[in-house]
Amino acid sequence: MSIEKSPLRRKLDKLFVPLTVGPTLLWIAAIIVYPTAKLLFSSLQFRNPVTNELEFVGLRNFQRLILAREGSDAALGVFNPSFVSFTTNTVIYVGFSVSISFLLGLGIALLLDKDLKGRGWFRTAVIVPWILPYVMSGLMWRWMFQSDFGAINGALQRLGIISGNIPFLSDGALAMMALIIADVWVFTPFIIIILLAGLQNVPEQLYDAAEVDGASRWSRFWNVTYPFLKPSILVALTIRIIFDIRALDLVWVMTQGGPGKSTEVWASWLYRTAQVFNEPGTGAALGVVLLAVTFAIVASLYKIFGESPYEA
Amino acid sequence: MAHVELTDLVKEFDDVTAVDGISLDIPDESFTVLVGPSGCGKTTTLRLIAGLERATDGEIRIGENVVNDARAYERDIAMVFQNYALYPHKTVRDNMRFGLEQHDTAEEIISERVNETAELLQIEELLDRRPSELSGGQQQRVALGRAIVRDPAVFLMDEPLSNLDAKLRVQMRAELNKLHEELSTTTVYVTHDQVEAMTLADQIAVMDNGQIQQVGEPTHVYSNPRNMFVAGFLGSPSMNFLEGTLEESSAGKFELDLGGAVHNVPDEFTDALEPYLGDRVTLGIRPENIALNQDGVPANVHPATVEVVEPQGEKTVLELKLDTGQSIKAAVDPDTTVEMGDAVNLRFDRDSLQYFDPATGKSLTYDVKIEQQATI
Repeated sequence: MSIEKSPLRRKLDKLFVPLTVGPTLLWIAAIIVYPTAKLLFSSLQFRNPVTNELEFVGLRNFQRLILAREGSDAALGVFNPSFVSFTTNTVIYVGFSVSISFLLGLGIALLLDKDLKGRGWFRTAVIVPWILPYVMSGLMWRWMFQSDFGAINGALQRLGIISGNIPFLSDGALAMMALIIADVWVFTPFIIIILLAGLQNVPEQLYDAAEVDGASRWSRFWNVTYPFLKPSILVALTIRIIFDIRALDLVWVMTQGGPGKSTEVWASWLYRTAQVFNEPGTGAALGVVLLAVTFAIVASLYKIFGESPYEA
Repeated sequence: MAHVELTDLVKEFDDVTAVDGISLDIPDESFTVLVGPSGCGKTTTLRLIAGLERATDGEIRIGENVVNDARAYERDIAMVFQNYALYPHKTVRDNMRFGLEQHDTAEEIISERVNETAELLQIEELLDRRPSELSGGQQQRVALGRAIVRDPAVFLMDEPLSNLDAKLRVQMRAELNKLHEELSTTTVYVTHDQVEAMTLADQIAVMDNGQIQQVGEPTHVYSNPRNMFVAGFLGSPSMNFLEGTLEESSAGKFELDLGGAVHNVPDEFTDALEPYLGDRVTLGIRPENIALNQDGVPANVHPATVEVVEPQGEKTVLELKLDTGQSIKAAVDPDTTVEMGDAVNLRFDRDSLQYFDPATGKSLTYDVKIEQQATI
């Protein structure tokens, strides 16, 4: 027996897809497509500070950003020295923060995956740094690194490790180190949570099989744990790197890119250019560079970690 | 090759005693099956032999060595897991190589052994595929291959066929039999499937509640269960139990009052059952040892009504209700023409009768039957 549908019912059936998918597509367009297009467009424009009018300038913003100004000392090279120095800062900041927090997070996750006493309590405690607002963490670390009455100077002196105060935040290299420490402290819990979830996916029997096969701890990690952890590593590193490249909160609260420009990273440079110096065009150009670099990094992460253990 | 000996083996997890003082001798080259319902401790026992669990008490001996403190890989065993536990990101070849590589085996020996084993199992053309590209049956072969390639002293198999469909399971069962014939490696095999246990084992150990209920040759255990658990666990449909009061007739014969009907106890059991006169006794009879007797021979016949007829091809299983109210199953010839509601007379094969103490479950006639079999 065939079931006759009423005309209204048939009409509704036809509308099902547009009605359910439509709003989502509009939403994606509003929050992803439009801002990205706007960013690309803005990076090709220049706001005349006198007339406050927008002019189309082609790739000039990129040129100003990346290449040395015309007439500048040729000995300094073809690149804009700010670009070189801030890029270096970004690479140091992101590179150290991400790799240290990743290794630390992996170690703690492996430890918490074991059947240890008080594991539940520890799992909860370990998340705390991540759930604090970043600005608050930044302020806390700024106070702790403060050179005259900061907790870290105090502790080091009491332990007899140092005699005079160390000006953590007013020395370029030390300020970068302080930033990295704060960043690792804030974001390691995120790595732990993601990797811990990934560790639950490893079938218990595979560990048994590896044990019977006589695999060493190291071999068990590489041959059983790692293949199953790869998707989680991908997620953790991708989000972590994206966050850090864009991270402004910690840097702005702790050092504002200083002392001098020794901790100026792309995110703070972008903010300063677009908001403080009112050069939205150059800022947008920097945003495009940032977007491209992020894409490239994520793509290579997918290449390395993207294969699920079950895929052929 | 090695024999395995378990002595008073105990394994406790927190408050639960999973294995409760097991002693079992697994002879060299035997195929021993641990069988029992889930939670009976059979898998834990296997894992204890494997070294994946540490014994709380007792001794495990493989060959001449006590291996209680040895790591799994030091025990010269190989294990086949229920879900195969193949490394999903490795090819079949690498799965099979892995164990050998961990032991620094020479490259030529590894490839030779892998190729030999693949040939034995007819999986040569699968060597470069990954587990996800294989069917369940093929994965099962690879899991076997990974064990065989190691040429261990003992194979440990944990329900290796339970994830296969019925047809494949029967086929793999036959192949396991053939493989064991060929390799003669001592095998300990865990299953909850009593058919698998009966067909594969040369020695069967029926377990329940962390204890071994009975050990022996499958057919022997099947025909001579030591207690009601073993009697009921082996066989499908399982043995019928009818409880009654043991009485002595005016003629001096023993009879079981089933509550309205009387069952005559064969004379050879009189001595064994005498202490139970006046007590409750359970009669055990397997469905296939019950015959329909529609003509009604007067001696030892139990009238019953047919309630369900289940044709199963090679036999027909009848669910019947005795006139005393007890339910009973009979497996009869498929040509038998009975219908629901028919009144029939059941005749119990007198050589297959068993009697149990309903309180302890212990067989009261085991010793008599063993003696009888010895004199024949």
